[in-house]
Amino acid sequence: MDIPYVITARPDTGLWNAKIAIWLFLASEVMLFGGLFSAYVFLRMGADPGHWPHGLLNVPVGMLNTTILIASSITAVFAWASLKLRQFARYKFFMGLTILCGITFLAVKLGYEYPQKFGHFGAFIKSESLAKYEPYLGNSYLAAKKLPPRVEIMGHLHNREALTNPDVKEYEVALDAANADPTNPEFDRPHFIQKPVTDKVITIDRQDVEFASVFAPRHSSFFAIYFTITGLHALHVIGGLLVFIYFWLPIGSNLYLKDPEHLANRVEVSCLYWHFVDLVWIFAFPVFYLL
Amino acid sequence: MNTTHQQNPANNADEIHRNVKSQVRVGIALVIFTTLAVGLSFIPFHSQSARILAVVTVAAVNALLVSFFSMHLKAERNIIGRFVFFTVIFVIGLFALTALAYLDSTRLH
Repeated sequence: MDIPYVITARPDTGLWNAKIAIWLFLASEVMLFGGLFSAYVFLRMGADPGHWPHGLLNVPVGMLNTTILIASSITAVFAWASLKLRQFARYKFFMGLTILCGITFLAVKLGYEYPQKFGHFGAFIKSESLAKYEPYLGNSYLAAKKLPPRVEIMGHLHNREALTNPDVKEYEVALDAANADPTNPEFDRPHFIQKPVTDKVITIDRQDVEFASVFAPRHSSFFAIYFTITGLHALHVIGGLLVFIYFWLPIGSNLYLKDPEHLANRVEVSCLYWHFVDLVWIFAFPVFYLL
Repeated sequence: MNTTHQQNPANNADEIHRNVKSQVRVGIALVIFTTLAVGLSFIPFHSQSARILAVVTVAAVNALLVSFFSMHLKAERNIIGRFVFFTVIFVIGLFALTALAYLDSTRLH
């Protein structure tokens, strides 16, 4: 049985089936991400002074990923246009490029950025112990300059067993540059290129710490919402890639032999979805990396 | 299967080429605006609120470019426009609820 309106428009809506379906789906997606971004705003507005970090994410890497995703949107349109013009080899080439861009985006996100965060450590100091760690926090200096206080010491944790073994009473931390030299005006603002961890190692008493962990979702509200939104976005990228791979491999692309316009329409709605994935990232990048 | 499939293209080739060119222009604009947002986030502002407003405005311009040109919302049929309109209303409602919740909690403090 042939399904009607897969190529021609329905007379009542003026649209073919998949077009109307993808827009309804995207409307639900807008609500999903809208709710999460709304949660981000709520968490950020409610964060105590010094509890919303700046400059923890790698901006050049985020910019690179943004550019890769934008490029993939363009190559996806090239693939669709090639199908419309009945240039199948060109279609295969540009669809292949789109898939490659998507995989690169995921590799950077899941293979480089996430592991970097899971390897970094932060300890929130109890308010009554802040004075003890003043040489690494520089709060008097920050107060004089009317900047938000630092309540966290960050760096690379040497004794990782301290995270799981409550009998280990100290955290040995190689400090981040901002904690190693907290009164240096250079660290009043985040850097475009992040400074590496210094070789200055200090010990932090467990009893002085309110909460300590690696930069995982449980570390703070910031990382909870960061991993939720970027993780969900990565799942959407994976979903889009699976569809693109299906249309790229013979199992999906053989439809071209039977009905090239039908394949072109399928690729068009996939491109609409891919542009939406691009759009979500265009918001996620500035709110997490830049603000 | 080769590059010279014999069926006629369903759409006008000129229109498709125009579409592709428009996508490339949008892509370039997105990269430029993203770079601008990064620049704005690192230059000194008199307040953090002003910085947030500037960066979010640039992100909103980028989002409009994608939705109106890449996703063809500009030329799409009215029914799609209606879907998007009502979705946007609901999203604004979501953010309004967040704002109301925030105002309410500050009143309690």
